[in-house]
Amino acid sequence: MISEGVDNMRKILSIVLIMTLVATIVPSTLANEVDTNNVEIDTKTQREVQIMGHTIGAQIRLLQLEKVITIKIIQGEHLISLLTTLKNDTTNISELEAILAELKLVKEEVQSADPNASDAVQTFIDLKNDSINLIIEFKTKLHTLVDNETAEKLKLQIKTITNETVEKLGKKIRNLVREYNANQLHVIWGFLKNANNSSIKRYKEGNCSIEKVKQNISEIAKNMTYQKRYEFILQIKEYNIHRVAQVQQHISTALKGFQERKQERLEERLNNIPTNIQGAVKEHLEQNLLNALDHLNNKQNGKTETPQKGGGGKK
Amino acid sequence: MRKKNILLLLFILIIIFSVTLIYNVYTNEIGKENKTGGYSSNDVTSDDVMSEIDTVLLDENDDIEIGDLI
Repeated sequence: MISEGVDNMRKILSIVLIMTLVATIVPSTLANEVDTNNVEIDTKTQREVQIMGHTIGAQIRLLQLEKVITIKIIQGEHLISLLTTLKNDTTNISELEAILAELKLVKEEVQSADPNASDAVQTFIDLKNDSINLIIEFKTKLHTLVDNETAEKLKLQIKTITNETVEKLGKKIRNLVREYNANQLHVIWGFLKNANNSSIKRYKEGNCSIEKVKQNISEIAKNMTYQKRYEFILQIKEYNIHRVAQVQQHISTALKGFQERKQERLEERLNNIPTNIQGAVKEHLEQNLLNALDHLNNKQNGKTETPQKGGGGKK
Repeated sequence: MRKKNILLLLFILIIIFSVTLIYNVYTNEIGKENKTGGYSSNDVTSDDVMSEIDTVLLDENDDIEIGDLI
C-alpha cells in the first residue's frame, strides 16, 4: 500500500516536472524562431530606412547611396590604374574592372529609383545589399593580387581622392537634411504650441545652426512644469514611434520576394550590358552575372535567401 | 499518505504559479518603463527633451557605409 503511494507520488511529480519543462522550453523556442525571422536586415540599414516614409527622407537615403557608390567607383578606378602600373599580367585586373562595371550598373539603378514610389525602401535595401556584395567581391579579388604591405600603401593612396560630383552630391544631401530636419522641428514646435519658430526658417535657409534651434526649444522646456515637460517628451516619443511604424511595413515587404527581385535585377543587368564594356571585362561581367544567377537558383531550390548583415548574399 | 501527496502537489503548483506571477509582473513593469523610455513625470529634464529631439533629427554629415575596397 505504501509502495503504491510512493509510485503514484513519483508519477505525479514526473508529470509536473515534464509540464514545467514544456512550459519553459516551448515559449523560448518560439521566441528564438521569431528572432531568427526578424534578424534579416542589419540594424544600421533598419535605422537608415526609418526616415524613408517621408519623400525627402527617401531622397536623402538614395542620394547618400549614390554618393557612396560613386566614391567606391572612383577609388576602384584609381586602384586599377595603380595595379596596372604594378603588374604586367592584366588578366586578373579585368576581373576587378568587371566588378566595378557591375557597380556602375547598380549606381544607374540607384539614380533611376523614384523616392516617391511605394517601393523606395525596398529598392534602397536591395541596391545597398548588391553594392555591399560587390565591394566584398572586389576586396577579396584584390587581396589575391597584392600582399598586405602593398594593400596598405594602396589604401593610403586612394584615401585622399576628391571629386567634383561627390562634392555636389554632398552639398545636395546637406540641403535636403536641413529641409528634413526643419520639417521635423516644425512638428516638435507644434507640440510646444509656441508661435515664435523663426529660428527653424533661419536654420532651413542655412543662416542658423541646428544647435541654436535646439537651444531655443531647451529654454522653453526648462520653463515648463514637470508634468508639461513629461507630456512634451511623450508626444515626441509617440510621433517617433508612429514614424518608425510607418516604415516597418515597407521593411517587411522588402523581405518578401527578395530573392526573386535579385534574380530579375541580375537578368536585367545581363541583358543590358552597355556597349562600351568590351573584351575580357565584358566576358568576366557576363560570367559573374551567370554565376550569381546559378547560385541564386541553387539557393531557391534550397533555402530562401534574405539580405544578410554586411552583405554576403552573392558569391 | 494520499492526503500528503495531494498537499505536496498543491504546494509545488503554488510555487510554480507564484514564480510565474512574479516573473510576469516584473516583465510588465520593465515593459511599461521602456514604453516611456524610463522617464517618470517627476524626473524629466530639458536634457532628456534634447536627447529625445535628437532621435528625430538627422546629422548633416551622416553617410551610408558599404565597406572598403581594400
